[in-house]
Amino acid sequence: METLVDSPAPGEGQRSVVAPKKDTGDTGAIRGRPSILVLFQDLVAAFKAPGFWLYGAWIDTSLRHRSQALGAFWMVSGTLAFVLILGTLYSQVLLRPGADTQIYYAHIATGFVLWIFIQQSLQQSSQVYKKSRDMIQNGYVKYVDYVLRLFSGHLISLGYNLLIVVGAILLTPVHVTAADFILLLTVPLFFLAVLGVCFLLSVVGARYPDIGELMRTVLRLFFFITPIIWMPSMGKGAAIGAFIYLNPFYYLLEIIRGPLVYGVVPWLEIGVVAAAIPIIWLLAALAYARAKPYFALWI
Amino acid sequence: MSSSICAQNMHFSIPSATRIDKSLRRNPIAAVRNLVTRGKSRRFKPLLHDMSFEFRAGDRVGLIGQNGAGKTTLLRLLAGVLVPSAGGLEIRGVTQNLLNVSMGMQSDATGLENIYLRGYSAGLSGQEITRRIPEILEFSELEPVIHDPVRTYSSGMRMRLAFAVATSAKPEILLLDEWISAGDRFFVERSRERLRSHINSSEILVFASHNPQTLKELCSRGLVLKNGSVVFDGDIEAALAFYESDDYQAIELPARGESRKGAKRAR
Repeated sequence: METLVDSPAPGEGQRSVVAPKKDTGDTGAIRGRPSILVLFQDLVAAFKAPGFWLYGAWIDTSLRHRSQALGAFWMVSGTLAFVLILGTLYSQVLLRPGADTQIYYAHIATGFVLWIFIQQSLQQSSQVYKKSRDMIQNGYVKYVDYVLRLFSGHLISLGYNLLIVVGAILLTPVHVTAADFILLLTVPLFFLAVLGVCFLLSVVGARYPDIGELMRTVLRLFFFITPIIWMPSMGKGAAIGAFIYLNPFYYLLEIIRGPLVYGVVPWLEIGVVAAAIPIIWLLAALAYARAKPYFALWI
Repeated sequence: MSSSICAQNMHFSIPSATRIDKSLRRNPIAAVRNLVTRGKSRRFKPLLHDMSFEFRAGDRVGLIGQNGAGKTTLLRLLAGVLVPSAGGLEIRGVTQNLLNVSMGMQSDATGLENIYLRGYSAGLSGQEITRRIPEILEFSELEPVIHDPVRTYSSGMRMRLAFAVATSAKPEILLLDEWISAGDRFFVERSRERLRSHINSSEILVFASHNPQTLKELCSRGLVLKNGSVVFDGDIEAALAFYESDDYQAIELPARGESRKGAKRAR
């Protein structure tokens, strides 16, 4: 019998690892593997005691801009410049003459701001345990907290950047429609999907350091092949359909951008994301449970 | 409930081939194969063999042994960073660990922020940390510089800060690695006093060190390690005497890294 009464949560005063006795053969493999539920158990523990990762996320954000005169303004200004300059240029280059150039600003602002969030979260989560090595080796082994710290740090940045989205939507009059109510469903779906992928990547990235580099390249490519700068409606023919419908990031962006900017409810895209979420979380939970005893060795 | 640590025939091995087949570039097929075979074709390198011991409340244990004897590995197992490969390990009580010099301090953050960060990671609430701050500042003597970034601190200042925070939580089990005895005389004296006042009958200290003087002052019991095995367990004076005697050198054990029969290949 092998059991693992899990890692020491504060207040929980007991921890025991009982592994097979010597006569079953010291195969050297680490025993006492956690059950598949361990990711969710760890998540519950993390939300019960959120001090470390919330404070950590705040510190990370605060440190990034501490000694700068403009401080947090830098977070917003880069995005603002991007949206203004690219919006002005590409609305002339890409749109057909006579088309509505106004809505392009709202399109690119929403797409780009969400993209930054996705890209930063995925990129960094593949290296998160390596970056936290000192703390892990000193005994802080609530691995979920490191991912939540990173994720909520990017949520703070996303919050700042949303100012630009709101600005773009107000200035390029995008009307509030009934479709906006679906955001109450799609926004949580969006975050659930991204967080699930973060957990999956954090495990895979800890085992295979190459994943970090791979993500960098892949995400750079996907920035261009996902309709962020361009619009799906600009395409001609079926070839472009592959770039849209086989692209997971399209679905993620569209479930928010569709209702927000275009006033449509993208049922297909919502369905795809909703179906993907259980799969992503199942994979993440399996990988996490399998890998948890090894993280300290891999990093 | 009083705290205790109990190990029974505990083994610890690491898969030693991970560094070789870890890279997708060098060996993409092995990566896939390991996923399929669940890594069973890898070699394992035993670091700790057949360790059995029991630490009870009030024990102040010194871990003694030459470099590579397994002191840090054992501390990491006790801290829950590593998991035993075979055998049992039961720990009652919440541990506080000072295992590496940086201790995960955020060097750009201020001393005060690091107190909060470490406090939260020790499982304290914001209020509890705030309540402890005066006392932490008093011990660490860092009040004038507490709003400066930690990167401007000397290593002694960092050590004082980490030590003050870790002990302010009145840990049930305190794990210290040897770097702590690298502090100057004043630090060692002050930390000894603080440990004395903190370690009461319900608490355990496990301390790895090469410094016989500090060991004698802080510990009551000694666990002598060699090549990943416990070779002596007893009174600290006797343990130090054993470590310094020829008997320690004479003990023959399977060398660390040399695979034992049955452990070499799992299949």
